[in-house]
Order: sequence, then C-alpha cells, then structure tokens
Amino acid sequence: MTVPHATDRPTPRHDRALHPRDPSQDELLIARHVADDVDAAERALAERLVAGCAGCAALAADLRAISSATRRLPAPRRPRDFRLSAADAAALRPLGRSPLARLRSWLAGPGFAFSRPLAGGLVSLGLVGLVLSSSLGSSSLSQGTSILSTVGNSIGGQAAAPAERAAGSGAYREPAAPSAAGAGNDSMAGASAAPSAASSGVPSAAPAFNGVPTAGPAASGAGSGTAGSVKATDEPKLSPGQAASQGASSGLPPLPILSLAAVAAGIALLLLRWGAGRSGG
Amino acid sequence: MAASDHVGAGVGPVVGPPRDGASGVADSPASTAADADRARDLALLARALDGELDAFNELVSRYQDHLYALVARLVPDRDQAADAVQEAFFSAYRNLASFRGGSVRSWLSRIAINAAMDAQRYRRRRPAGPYPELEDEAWQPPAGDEADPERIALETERGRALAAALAAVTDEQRTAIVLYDVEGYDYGEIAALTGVSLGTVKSRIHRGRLALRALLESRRELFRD
Repeated sequence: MTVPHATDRPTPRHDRALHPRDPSQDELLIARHVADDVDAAERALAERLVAGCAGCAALAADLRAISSATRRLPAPRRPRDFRLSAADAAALRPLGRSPLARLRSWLAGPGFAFSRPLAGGLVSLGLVGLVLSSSLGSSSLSQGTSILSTVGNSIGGQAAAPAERAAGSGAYREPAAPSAAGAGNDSMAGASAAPSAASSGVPSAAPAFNGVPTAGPAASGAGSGTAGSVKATDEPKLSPGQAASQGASSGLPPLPILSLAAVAAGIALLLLRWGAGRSGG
Repeated sequence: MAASDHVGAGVGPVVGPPRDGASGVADSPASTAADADRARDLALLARALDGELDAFNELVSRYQDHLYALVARLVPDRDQAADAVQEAFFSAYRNLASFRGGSVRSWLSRIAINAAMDAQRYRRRRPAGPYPELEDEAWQPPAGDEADPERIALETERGRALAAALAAVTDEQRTAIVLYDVEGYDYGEIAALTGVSLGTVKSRIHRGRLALRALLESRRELFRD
C-alpha cells in the first residue's frame, strides 16, 4: 500500500492525462469519492476503478469503515472536574461583581449589541444631514453664522463692560435689572462689539427694540431706531444662553446641530462598546 | 500553556452548529428541546456575566464532558488535554463579554478547539516523543451496547486502535478528521476554525483517512462487521 503524502496542500483535481499510472493519485481519487468530493467525471472514473480493481474496492470499503468508526469513537472519560473555584474566578475577573464591572459587562455583552447598528445609523444619518445642510442655501448658513457671531459678540461685550467701567465712563449707570434680557444700558452699547447696525446707524429692519429680545439676527444690531445715534439706547445685551435660544427660535436650521449631535452620539456609542469590550476582555 | 483568548472575540466568521446537529425540523420535539437548552444556556450566561460564578459553573457541568472528549481526541496526551480544557473554561470565563449570541455550546467548542490547537503548537515547540499509550479505562463504553459484552469488547478495541492511529497522524490531519467525522462540522466551518483554505481542509481529511488506513493495516478485521 502506498503511504499518503505527508503534505496537506490542496488536493489537485484528478487528471488521468497527467497521472496515467500514479497509484497515489488513484488512492486519493477514491478517498475523495468516498467523501463525495468529486465532480461527475471524477465520479465516473472512481467508480470504474472500484468496479475493476479489487485493491481499489478494498480501499473504498476500508475508508468507509474507518470514517464510520471515527464517528462512533468512544468518548474519553473526563479525568477531573473543570468547574472554577472562587479563587479561580477572582483571579480571572478581579473586578468581580462591582457595579463598574457589571456596567462594563453589560456594555460589552449581548444586551448592548444593538449599539453597533444604532451607532452606524446615527453616524450615517448625521453625515447625510451635514451634507444636506451644507448643500441647502447659503442663506440659512449665513444666518446661523450671524447668530453665532452675535453670541460671540455678546459675550465679548459683557467681558468688555468691566473695562469700560474702569475707564470711568461718565455715562455709565448700573442697569436696573441686569438679569433682564436686553435691559436698557446706554453706555454698554459702545463697549459691545455688536454689529454695525447700532454703531453705524443703519436702521435695523427689526421692529424697535423695547428691552425684549427680538427674534432674528437684527436683534443684535437693533437699537432704538435712532439713526446715527452714538448713544445706541436699548442695545440688547444677551447672555450666551439667551442668544442661543434666540438663535434657535429665530430660525437657525436645526439640521446641522442635530446632524453633528447624531454623529457625535454614534461615535460615542461605538467608543463605549469598544472600550467596554477591551477592558472586559 | 498559552491562553486561547483569541477565540470567539469577534474574530473570524461565526461558525454555526455542527451539520449533524443542525438538521432538525423546526417544530419537532427534538428542536423544541434544543431551543429550551439554548435558552437555558443563554440565561446562565447572562447570570454569569452578572458575576454569578454558580451560573458559569453550571455551564461547565453541562459541557465539560463534551469538551473534554473533543479536546482529548485532538490532543491525545490526557494531561495536556485536561490542561487545555481547563484553560478553555478559564478563557471562556475571562471573555464572557465576547459572546456574540448564538449557541453557547458552539461558542465553548470553538474556544476548546483553539485551546487544543494551542496545546498542539506547544507540543510541537517542545517535542516530547509520541503520545503515551492509551488506557482502556479512559474510554467510556458506547451508548446502547451495554447488554452485549462481546460487542463492548469489540467497540473498545476498535476505539483504542483508532485512537492510537489518530494519535499517529499529523496534528492537522487529526484536527480536520475529528472536526469533520466526530464533531460534524462541515468543510467551510473547519476552514474558518483552523484558518486554512477549503481545499486544504479537504486534502487533510482525505490524506488523513488514507494515513489512518495505512496505520490500521494490521487491524483491518476490527473494522469489518
């Protein structure tokens, strides 16, 4: 009997032209035939071999018997118990049952498996939203930019106010209600870096400002309507929160903000899952 | 022995249940029982994830016989096989969070197969001669043949001869044959588990069977009913 090749390279397809009298190839063909791993031509050839050669028939019968016996191979008896002791468990998972470990396990476990598709969806939606918002008219964006700059200016104005006080502006007087949005503060107008609507005297398209925050970008430049007035009375001074809410209510498209939030949330979910999986392992 | 922590942690394709165990009809009593088993395993795994060692040890109790039989066929040295199984359970406990759903049994089997292949690699790096002679008492009698002592003796002798022959073929051939014939995985699943091509898996099985036949030349009568 020919001992099979020691190599485990993929079996070449049987080719009688290349191996007209190679017994090892015949054996391999029969072994593949027994395992039903042959094409139609090879099957016909293998069947001819088995039918016409006693050695080939014995080989096929032996291989079937060995395969069948392997399936019925008795199970070796287990020599010991493999259950883990408490010490094993403590050494393997030192965090034990701490809330942090539980949270980490949950984040990395099958219960939080939904996070991956959810994160993917959020990031995709966010990216689509960003693309859409960038392709939507520039007016919306410029509007948003204007509001953002107003926020910055407002913050800058408030920051600059103490400096003006220190400069001893005689016109300065303490606002009656500092917390009131847009409470009149004449002298603050100069300190504010508010856009030109007030300082340049260009009349604002917004209605006259009466101490109530006016929606729209014009609010930043809204004065009393007195063109050219250096003393831009009733200049609104907005806190950042007020400006933001004002911006939102003034029609700043929520799409970019929502899109950015979706992308950030998706990435955060992915990082959470990934980090928990690493630390859990 | 090197830990086999690389198993099941989302590496490579997920291998499903062995082909013999996957052929049940959807609503048959057997499949219902299998579903109940799976649900119970998942509940135990969830409790183990919460830190309940008893729940994990219940899983160990359920599968340690199967995993030891599997690993002992891949690693014929009994001590190394036992170490590999213990390492597999350690690895499973460490990596509970890496379970990605599906069958707990398949997941544990994958971990055990990797632990066995680690043991084979370890043995190749530190050759220690052929595998020790197998002992008869290490083998359980086949189920259903208890009433026929002659049959038991034949099966035991056949199993012993076959196990000795399996121990003598290459690790790769033995792994492919055991996973295909004993465990019931298909070629693709074995390729995924062992990290080689489909053609190489087939070649290992065919050549391995031919090698077994050559090794069992003098014991042919045992295999002819």
